[in-house]
Order: sequence, then structure tokens, then C-alpha cells
Amino acid sequence: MHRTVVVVLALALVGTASRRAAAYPQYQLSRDQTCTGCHVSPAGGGLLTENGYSIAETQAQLSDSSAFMYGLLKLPGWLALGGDLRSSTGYFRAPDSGFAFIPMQGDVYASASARGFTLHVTVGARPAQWVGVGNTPAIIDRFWSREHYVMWQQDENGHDGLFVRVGRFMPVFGLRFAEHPDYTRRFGGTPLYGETYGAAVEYIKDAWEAHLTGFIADPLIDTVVHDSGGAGYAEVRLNPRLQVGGELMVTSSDGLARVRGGATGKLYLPSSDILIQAELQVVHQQVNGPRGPDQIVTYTMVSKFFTPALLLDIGIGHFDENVAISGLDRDAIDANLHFFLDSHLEVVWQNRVEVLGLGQSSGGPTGAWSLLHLHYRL
Amino acid sequence: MKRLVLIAALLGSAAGACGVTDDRPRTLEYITQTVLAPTCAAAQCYSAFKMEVGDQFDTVEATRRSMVVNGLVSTLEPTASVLYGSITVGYPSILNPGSGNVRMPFDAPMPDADVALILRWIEDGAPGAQCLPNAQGNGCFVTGTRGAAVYHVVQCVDGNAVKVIQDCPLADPTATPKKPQSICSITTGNGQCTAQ
Repeated sequence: MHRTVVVVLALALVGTASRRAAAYPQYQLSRDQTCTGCHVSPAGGGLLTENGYSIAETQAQLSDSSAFMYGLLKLPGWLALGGDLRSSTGYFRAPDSGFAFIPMQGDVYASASARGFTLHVTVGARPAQWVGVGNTPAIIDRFWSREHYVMWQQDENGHDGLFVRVGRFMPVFGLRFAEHPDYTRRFGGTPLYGETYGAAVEYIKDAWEAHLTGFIADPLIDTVVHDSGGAGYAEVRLNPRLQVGGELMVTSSDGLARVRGGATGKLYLPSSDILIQAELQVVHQQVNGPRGPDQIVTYTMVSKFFTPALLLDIGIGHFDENVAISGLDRDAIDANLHFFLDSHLEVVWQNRVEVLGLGQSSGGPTGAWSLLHLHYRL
Repeated sequence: MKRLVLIAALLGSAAGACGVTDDRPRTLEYITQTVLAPTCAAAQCYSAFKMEVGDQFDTVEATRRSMVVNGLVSTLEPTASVLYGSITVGYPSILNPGSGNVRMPFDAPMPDADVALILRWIEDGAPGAQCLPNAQGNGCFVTGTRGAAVYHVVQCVDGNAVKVIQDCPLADPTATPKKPQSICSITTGNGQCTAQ
């Protein structure tokens, strides 16, 4: 009975504003070798595979069915449904202090497959565009489809091989942390709602994978990122516990040309059940000509699995918005504690301290937050 | 020990940038692309996607429009500009006026050097956001000082007032404070001075 109530409440919350669903790259190497080991999408995130459902069950305090709506709704084999609901509540300081409630995400996913082809659609709530003081946005302006694409995969029953996608999705780039404030997401070319139209060719094997995406600025709606360009990302697993990767993204928009190059690394220590992963980007920009700031973006995360249901992430980010000028760099230390009550409900206590111009005479105010994040997976 | 020194040096170089002189271009293009867009135009804030309170800072044209139409910059008294005040002391939220001052950005602090760059750009006359051209290429431009503003109909190129077409006269130039008695109205045509 309680499951039915939870599902109904969760569905009622779908009307809240939306944010991007994402996978936890903490589980790659520590629980499976690739994102496709657990997710339908070759980029990870969103709908789970059978193996993903199994891992979700083992990573929770209470044991129950991890299937869509606890298995109450039986689905045919060619159809996969899912969804994510998230909200966050807590304290902000940047540097003024305040209390905030943030409806983060209300997305429903549908994926229909036949003969190696898959049609994927994500529909959810979005923050409506401003319509002026006292005016109310139309209902239709509160919803959108963040992702929709057609995918062909070489092995229609497997999770590796060649994948080709065409449609609207996030270019595959870097480690793809779930938390969009992480610097390599926020300042690293894949910010919140950075999805756009493009085509991707992706090849995934246990030992290595490569993703190549070409994309254009969204011609249909006002969006967050206006870039057109290409992104490439590849990673090699030197052994089942260690992988290294490389990334390159070239974009242009509105007089701004940008080249991002970087490296990633991931190491799992099974004896202590700790995963260490890091990403470094060097960014060269040109604003209306040859002049523009070079930047450095890094994020390192150490994840400790205490029990199957308890996961602690300690993250350190560094972003230098202009390496030639002092006082423009920022450093953040994050501490996120995840608790998986069951295979659908997650509670995360998220904390950050952010410092500008660390160790320099000039910088700026210090920021911080402490948020309680609730996540329910349909 | 040598390793520790090397690590400390590397960390030091990572934490502190090389240069100290801020010689960044004080142009609307540079400030939009390198400061406002990455700092303020996040998804739920001043991007085209959300356009919170009607401001958009993710493209140069959108920033120019927001600055001029919403009056975010005052070259007459730069420190009184809404833009500068928003990132230094804050203003009550339009969405929740009783909440007290809200300083921007709301989600993460802004470096002092970026705040100073924006102020110096305004002090330079806010090039690129001095006017918003209509279909005929004309716009409004304000000169003078606070309390004695003079409006002009100007030829507006790339957001800059390049030629005065018509001065909007003060009805009583001796009044104290000298308030403009007519303002520029430029939505269509060649522009005109309108009695206030």
C-alpha cells in the first residue's frame, strides 16, 4: 500500500520544474565497467537496463522491486518507462545568506525499441520563461522535451558495440557528473540544460569507448547554450580498476570561439571500496578576434561506499576564468552524503564551501550551501 | 622534501594566477562572453531559457537589449547603476519584495576583479550598451550628470551613440535639480523628444 501512495505522490510532483537527470559515474568501475552496463543510453543517465535495476536493488537499505513503479505496471519487452523527481531545500550563502526551496526535476522517460532502433523521449516540467510581473505563463510553457532522439545500435540485445544517435541530447563529454554545479559541468561545456540537436557516433566495449558528437545551436527554442560545434571523448580501461580518458570540444557562438581539451582518470580501490575520479580541462577562447582568456577547469571526486546504501563523495573543484589575471580563480570543496532508502528513494545531504582567489591578496566573498536533496526514481 | 616543495609550488601556481594587471578589454562583447554569460546566464537565471525578470545575458545582443531597455546601466552615476548595485549590495527581489536585498549571483560569489571590470566599463560610458537601435538605426542616449540628464536622439551603431541627431531640450535649465522636461522616444522612425 505504501508503495502505491509513494508512486501517486511522486507522479503528482511531476509538475515541478525540471533539471537534468544524470547517472552516477561513481558506479563505473566500482560496480560495472561502462555506463551502458546499467543504462539504456550510451551516455549514461536516465532509464536503467536489467543490470541497472539489479544494482539499484543491491545498493539500497530496504529491499524491494527496483522496476518501474515497483513493478506494479507490467511493460512489454520493447517498451521502457521511467522518471526522476528531485527537489532541494536548504541554506545558501553567496555571500548573502538565504533559504531556498528548489524544485529541481520532474521528468518522465519513454523508450521504444525494435530491430536495433530505439526512439527515446524525455518529457518534463521546465522553468517557464519570464512573462512579466503579474503575468502567468501558459501551461504549455511549463513543459518541454529535454531529450528526444532516435538511436541505432549494432547489438540490439547487448550493451556494447556501435551506437548512432540523432536528435536532441547532451553531447558526451568528460566524466558527466550528476551534480551540475560541479565545475567541469558548470564551466566545462555541459551545463544544466546543455542539450541540443546533434548526431553522435559512439563505440563502446568493456576495454574502451569513444563518443563523437556534432551539434548545432537549438533552432527551435530559446535555450541555455547557443554553441555549434563538435565534441569527442574517449576512455581506455587499462585494467578493470583503472581508466584514463581524453576529451576535445570545439564550439563557436555569437563571436566566441572556444576550444576545450582535457583528460580524465578513474581509479577504483576495491579493498577500501573507494573510487577516485578526476577531470582536467584547458580552455582557450577567442572573443571577437584573437584576444580571449585561457581557462583551467578541474574537478576531483573521491567516493567511499560505506554500506551498500551509504555513499560519501568528497569533491574538490578549481576554476580559473582567466589564467593571466590573479583573483579570478575559484575553488570549491563539496561533501555529499547519499543515502538510498530503497531502490527508488534517495536522500542526499549536499554541502559546499567556495573560495575566490585562494591564497591571493584579492579574490572575493566566500560562498557556501547546505542542502537536503530528495530524489525519487519512478 | 624536494617532492613536497615541488607539490607546494604546483599547488601555488594552480591557486594563484600568473598576472596581476587586469588589462581585459572593457567592451560589452568581452564582458558578456567572459563574465556575464558564464556567471549570470545559468539555466534558471538570465539565460534565454529563463530570462528571469526580463534580463538575458547569454548573448551580446540580448545583453545590450537588457541593459538599455531595462535601464541597468547609468553612465551618469556608475555606482548607482542597477547592474552594479545588483552585484555589490543587492536589491529587493521583484518576485518577493519582502525578502530583503538579494545580491547577485545568487548561487555563487562573483570575483571582486569582475565587479571592478564591470564598474570600469560603465565609467567608460558603457560602450556597446549606450543605445538600442531601431529599424532606422537610431536610438536614445543620455548625457549630463545625475539630476541633470540630457536626452538625445542619436545614430546608434553597435550599441554606441555615434552622432547626435537631435537634443531633447530642458524646459527649465536653471531648475535645481535639473530634471529633464522631455525624453527621447525612439521605438520607431527617426526618433523624437517627448514631453514628460
